[in-house]
Amino acid sequence: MAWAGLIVAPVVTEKGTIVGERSGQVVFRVRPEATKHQIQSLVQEMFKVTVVKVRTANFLGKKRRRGKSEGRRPAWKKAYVSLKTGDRIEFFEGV
Amino acid sequence: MNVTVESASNESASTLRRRVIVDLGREEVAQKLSSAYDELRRTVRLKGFRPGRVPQKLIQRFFGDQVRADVTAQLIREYTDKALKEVGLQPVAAPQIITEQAALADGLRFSAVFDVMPEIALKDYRDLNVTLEAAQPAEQEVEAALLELRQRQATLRKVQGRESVEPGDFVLARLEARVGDKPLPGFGSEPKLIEVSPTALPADLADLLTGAQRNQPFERVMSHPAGHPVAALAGKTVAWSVEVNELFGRELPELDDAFARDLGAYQSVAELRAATRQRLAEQAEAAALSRARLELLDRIVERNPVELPESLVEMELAVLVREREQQAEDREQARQPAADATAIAPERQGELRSQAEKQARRALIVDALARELNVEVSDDELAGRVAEIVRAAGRERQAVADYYAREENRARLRGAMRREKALDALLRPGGADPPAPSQAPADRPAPAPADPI
Repeated sequence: MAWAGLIVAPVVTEKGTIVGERSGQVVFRVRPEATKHQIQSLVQEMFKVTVVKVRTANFLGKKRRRGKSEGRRPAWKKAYVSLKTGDRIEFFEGV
Repeated sequence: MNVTVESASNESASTLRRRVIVDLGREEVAQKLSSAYDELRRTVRLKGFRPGRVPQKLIQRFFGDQVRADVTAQLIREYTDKALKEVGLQPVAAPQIITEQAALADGLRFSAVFDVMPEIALKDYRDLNVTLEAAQPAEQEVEAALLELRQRQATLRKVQGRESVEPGDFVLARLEARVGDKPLPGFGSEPKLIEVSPTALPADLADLLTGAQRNQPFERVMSHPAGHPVAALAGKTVAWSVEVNELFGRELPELDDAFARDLGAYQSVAELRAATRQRLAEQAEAAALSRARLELLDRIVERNPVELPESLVEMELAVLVREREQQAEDREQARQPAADATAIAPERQGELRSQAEKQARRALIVDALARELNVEVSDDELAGRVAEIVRAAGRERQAVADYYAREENRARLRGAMRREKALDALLRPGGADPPAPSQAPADRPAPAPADPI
């Protein structure tokens, strides 16, 4: 698939775990150019689940200064993926 | 917990070997595992989570292997002790643990393999006639001891009117050694003070220096044997470059009242001589007592054959090997000529094993004797002996006191005293006290208390 690599990693944080438990959502870090449709298709193909909704949030990279030169960390996007009831994605299987 | 005891004599020639199999149910293990995870959860720090908020699944993912290994080790430690208490067996040494079912989800099953003490019913030990004879020190021995004291107080004086080195001299000399083009470490170009005597120097190095002329450097190539006491020279052909810069002779102090007063505790030579004679007599008596104890013990051992637990022999062997290695290291440091090579040769290991078996047999018998005679060592007796040892320790008093402040060392001393008392009860039914350790001269370390076996 041409969009391979748009999904960077699962977001394993306290908030990610809470939304997973409460609303059955899975959180991914994705490339900023990834669209909701692309994310939906990719997740469905990679994890063999049905995605019912994708919500995204853009994050501007943090400012960083090294001496007099100033820059930014790269911008990134977070995707909250809602799955069909009964579907699950286990990142830590076998434990 | 389900505990089964089996005789493991099919795995070993010894009938003293036992196997205790411990079966822990799934619930017991799961409870322990869960509390280990809970404990870790409170303290673990993981990026993206506040402390204490990390989900258990993540902890299992990241720390599972470590937690399972820790819990397994903890369960084995805890339940081995419980199982041994339950079946009423006392291992001679720490048991060997074999884990048979370690997937904790299905419980834990392990076995502890160990030797038990043999049951010993002592017989024919009362009618043994061992005599305790301590010879009084001869006049020559007293004179030799006094000479040794004078040699320790000797001063060095430059030799006048003689240019060549003679045995017994001290020389300030440069001894450089090269093997091929490489200098040997420890034999540098700095002059050192060396005693030219066979007791202080290996014989070939003493020969090298004997006859050397003051301020006349010379070179000589020597081949040193493989068993040379100085390991750096063993089996090597060495080019020696020697220069003797100065010769010193040892000047002994006169044996007079001033010398006796210099030693600190005496007012006259007569007093010093009497104290030396008394010290030698006490040493002879202690040595005679020690010989008699061993003779008595060996005769009881002869009359009471016992089966030896293999693990006890292994423990004794380990101690002997450690002692030999320590002696070899000490000799190497002091560069003293050695009767044997520093490493324990394979043919000597058989000899060491039979010695270890002998020691183990003696230990079993003497402990059985102490039990049979109901010998106990009270806290006061132990404290008294520790005080004697500390008093006799001279300059090392503090180190010795610290050593015996530790419970395990006191327990070892108590065991040795119990064995001594048991043997003394047979040797001297009247109950005369054994000689106290004699006061060592201030510059000599006190003798270490020895186990009678």
